[in-house]
Order: sequence, then structure tokens, then C-alpha cells
Amino acid sequence: METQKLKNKKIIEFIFWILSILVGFVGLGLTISVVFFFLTLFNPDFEPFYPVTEIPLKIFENGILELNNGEKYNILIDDAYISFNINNKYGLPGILNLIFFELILLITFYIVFTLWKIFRSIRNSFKNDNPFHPKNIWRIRKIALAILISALLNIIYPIILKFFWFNDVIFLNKSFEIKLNFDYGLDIFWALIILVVAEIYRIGLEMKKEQELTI
Amino acid sequence: MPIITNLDNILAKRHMSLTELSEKVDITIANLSILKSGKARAIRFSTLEAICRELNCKPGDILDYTPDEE
Repeated sequence: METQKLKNKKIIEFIFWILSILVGFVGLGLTISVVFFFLTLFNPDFEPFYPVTEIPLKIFENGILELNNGEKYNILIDDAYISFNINNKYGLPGILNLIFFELILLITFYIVFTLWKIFRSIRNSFKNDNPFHPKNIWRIRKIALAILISALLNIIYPIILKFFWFNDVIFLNKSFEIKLNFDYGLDIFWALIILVVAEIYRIGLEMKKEQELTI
Repeated sequence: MPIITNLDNILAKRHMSLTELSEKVDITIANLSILKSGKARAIRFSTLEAICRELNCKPGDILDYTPDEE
């Protein structure tokens, strides 16, 4: 039992340190992107290397797949995402694209940071042998909400681009229509799973309280 | 809660303090206070046995049932 407890402690500690590093990286990325955001806003000549937008295109092109052993196969390419740089030179779409990018990055940072807080509280609770902290229930629910918001933004954004601003994308002497993409709908499913985890955690907390009040 | 504890009455009759009882039954004063104040949700048989042994009483002397008034 004690060996298992020690193993669990080490796993939690390991995940906590991974998350700490991740929080640092995402936080740094967010800070740098905000700096570039304001530079782009106030200096139109400044060309940052991002933000970029991932636009799904309607593609129906023949292609060739070449394997490592040299074999070639004819294929039909029917889905593609392209990214390019937009800044405020493109007017309102450029600014809104910057805001969309910052929002997604902010949500990512919030998720990683909240996860870090959850693991920190679990790590600190090992002294009391009680990993169930009431605040963690709401933290888990907030992660689910953040994923839901991120999924909705990623679904709505291409719709806005397609119907309000962009017509087609032309490259390689061909015109491609922007496609609506609902792949991010799967993230809604993940958000629901995380809400279930939050409920299980809440039940665990109630059971722990019941156990503490059992003499 | 319909189940009430009469621990303080028994302790008074036996001239024993909560601290003395906690030392004898090896249960913390905090837990015995929870039991005494009626906040406990459950009691283990082993705990009840230890308390009855030290206080020389039966479980019915410590626990009572008063139905909730509707």
C-alpha cells in the first residue's frame, strides 16, 4: 500500500513538473504574441511571423503519394488546410484574426494553468492523504468550459471568414473555395467527458467528507 | 439528524473527561468532539466497542433515536 502511495506521489510530481514547464512555455508564447499584436496594431510595416490562420479549403485534386521505398500511388486530395500571415494591413479581418489567434492562445494558457493548479493542490494534499479539494471541482469544470469555448470559436471563425470576408483562395493558378469545418465539434465531446470527470471528483469529495465524519 | 449521542451524559456519570476517553480508546479529541456534538455521519463498530468498553455501558446508553418532526 505504501509502495503504491509512493508511486502515485512520484507520478503526480512528474506530471506537475511537466505542467510547470508547459505553463512557462505557453505563458512565454502568449506574452510574445501580445507584444507582436500591439506592434502590428501600431506599426503596419511590422511583419510578424504569426498570427496565421488555418483555413480549410475545398480541394479535389489528383496527386501522387510516394512511399519511403520509392513506390508511387495515385491519390485524390480532398481536404487541405492552409495558413498564411494576416495583419492589420488587411483591415478589420486582419485585426479580428489577430484577436482570434490571441483568444485561442489565451484559452490554451488558461487550460494549462488551471491543470497546473489542480496538480499542485493534489501534490500538496499528499501530506493529508486527501487529494479531494473543493476548488478543484470548479477548476475541472472551467477546463471543460474553456475547451467548449475554444471548439465553438474554431467552428464559428471559418464561417465568419467564408460568409463575410473571403471569397476564394487562389494559388498554383487555381481557385479554391473555403470549406466549413466541423471537426472541432469533437472537442465538445471531450468537454462533456471532462464534465463527467468533474462529477466523479465531486462524488469523491463527498465520500471523503463522509469518511472524515465517520468516527 | 434522528440519531443523537448522549456521550456527554455518560462521561459526566463516569466522571471522565473527553481527553481521558480519547487516550483510552485511541481516538483523537477532534473526532470524539464530532461525535459528542452530533455532527458525525457514521460510527464504526470498532469505535463503538472501544467506547462502550471504556465507559462500561451499552451502545443504547450512548446512542438514541428521535424521529424528525414532520
